[in-house]
Amino acid sequence: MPNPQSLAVAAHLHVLLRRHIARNTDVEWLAANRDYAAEIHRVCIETEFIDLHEWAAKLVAAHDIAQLSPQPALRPAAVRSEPAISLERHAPPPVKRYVASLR
Amino acid sequence: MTRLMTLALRTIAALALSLGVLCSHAQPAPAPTQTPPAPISQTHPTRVDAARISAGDTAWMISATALVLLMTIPGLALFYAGMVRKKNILATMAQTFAVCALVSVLWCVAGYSLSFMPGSPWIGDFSASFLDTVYFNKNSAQLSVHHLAPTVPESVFVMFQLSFAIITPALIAGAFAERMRFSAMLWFMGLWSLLVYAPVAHSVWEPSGWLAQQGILDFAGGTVVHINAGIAGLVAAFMLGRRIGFGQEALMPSNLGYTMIGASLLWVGWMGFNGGSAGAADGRAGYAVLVTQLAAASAALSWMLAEWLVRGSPSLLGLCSGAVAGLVAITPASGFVDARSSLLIGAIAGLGCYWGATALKRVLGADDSLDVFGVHGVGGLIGAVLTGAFASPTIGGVPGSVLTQAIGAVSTLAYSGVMSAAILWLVDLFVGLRVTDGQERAGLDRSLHGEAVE
Repeated sequence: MPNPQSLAVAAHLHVLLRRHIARNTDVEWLAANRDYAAEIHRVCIETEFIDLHEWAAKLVAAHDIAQLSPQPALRPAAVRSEPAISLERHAPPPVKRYVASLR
Repeated sequence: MTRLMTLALRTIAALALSLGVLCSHAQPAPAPTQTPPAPISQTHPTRVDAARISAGDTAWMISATALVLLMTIPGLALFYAGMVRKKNILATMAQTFAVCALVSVLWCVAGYSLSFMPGSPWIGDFSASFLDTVYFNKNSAQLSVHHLAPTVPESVFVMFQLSFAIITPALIAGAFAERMRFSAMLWFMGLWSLLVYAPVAHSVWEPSGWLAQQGILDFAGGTVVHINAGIAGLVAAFMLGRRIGFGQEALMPSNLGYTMIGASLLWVGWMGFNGGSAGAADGRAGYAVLVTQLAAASAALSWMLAEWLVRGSPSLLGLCSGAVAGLVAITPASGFVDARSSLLIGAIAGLGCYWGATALKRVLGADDSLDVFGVHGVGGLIGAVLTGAFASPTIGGVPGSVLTQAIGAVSTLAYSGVMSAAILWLVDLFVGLRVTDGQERAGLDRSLHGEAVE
């Protein structure tokens, strides 16, 4: 069960992601799973939205602080074949599609 | 007694003889005089007997009208809504729906009369205001026909042309999507339909129109609809300015599935758009439907190829856009070209409109949100010129002229561009064109309509 702080951060981040880039997330999984949180953190810092960067950082902090309960059974969508992603990685170049051109 | 009987017999014999003489000289009763039907005027609506109407032509024209109306609602509404951000889906649909209602009323009041009554070479007159020329009398079995479609009731002709008058301004909305005030949009569309669409339609399609007199070939509206709407959209994009975040952030399409459904409705509906422009259920209509399909298909493939080479992968949006580009380009040509020409027109349009929606858009620098000019403007120009090059006298009855087509295209660009700018300037003066920054960031759905897609 995710702690209330990480749940609150995840919920807020969920709303921001929907608003800015129409991205849906699984809030409970985001609050509980570090790998998923790391991926969403990566998505956030690729964008140009400052508030996404801020709340992604809060999500990272919430996961670091939290005493996570034993990981629930991994859902297939959250399984990654590579090792857990470092939250310190550098952001890849921003997405170019749909910037200044629809087609 | 004997003398009396003899006299009676003589009288009877005389009577019989007279009757026989009369019978031998009897003539058949003269047939009632056959009055020839009144000739149908070549310049004005005419009242005719219902028997002169073709049931087949009428049935097809009514069906074609429904197909074209479906192109706008919900075809264009879905096509556009899928390409805007989620927070603007409902507002985009509302614009299309409102334009349909608004133009329908204005068409009845004055639009039809200004477009399709003789008037002058530049504009019609008010003789058919409130559809006064449209006549139907069940008891006397008489009704009116328009001179451009003498085998169908005038009411059907009015409705078919109305469906064109509706979709043309609705196309423009794609250029200023996500940032125009709803009230300003209504004012602009209403004025535009009367002051821009009607004169251009009159010039090109009404026999007394000045472009028609020049011999322009525009079977179903490449100039009247697509070049016209395209340039108006570009002007609107310039005058409204760019959306917040344009060029800096990704403005994500909300649901390209909607766009595909909309594009499919456009594709199928175009069978009515071009086929119905024959004004009859005949071989020419059938040929128009065939070349329409071929052009759409070849354009979808050529756009897909271009995108595949440039971007590295084809996209659903590219396929849909390509098909629409081909449909736009074949519109003026559909009653004049053969199958091979239609494949070529489509292929060229797919490549040309891909360029128009990408490289040309960057050069122009305007935020034409949904590429109205890139697809409809450029596609319309390509189609207009190629109609002049490929028109077959065998199919259309007349040869084409690239020069005449170019004159029609350029004059429409000029007139529509200038008048659209003038109307927008006027609307901005009295109403204001653009929503506030806060409204734009929050999304037009909530800001202007109090609704949202959850």
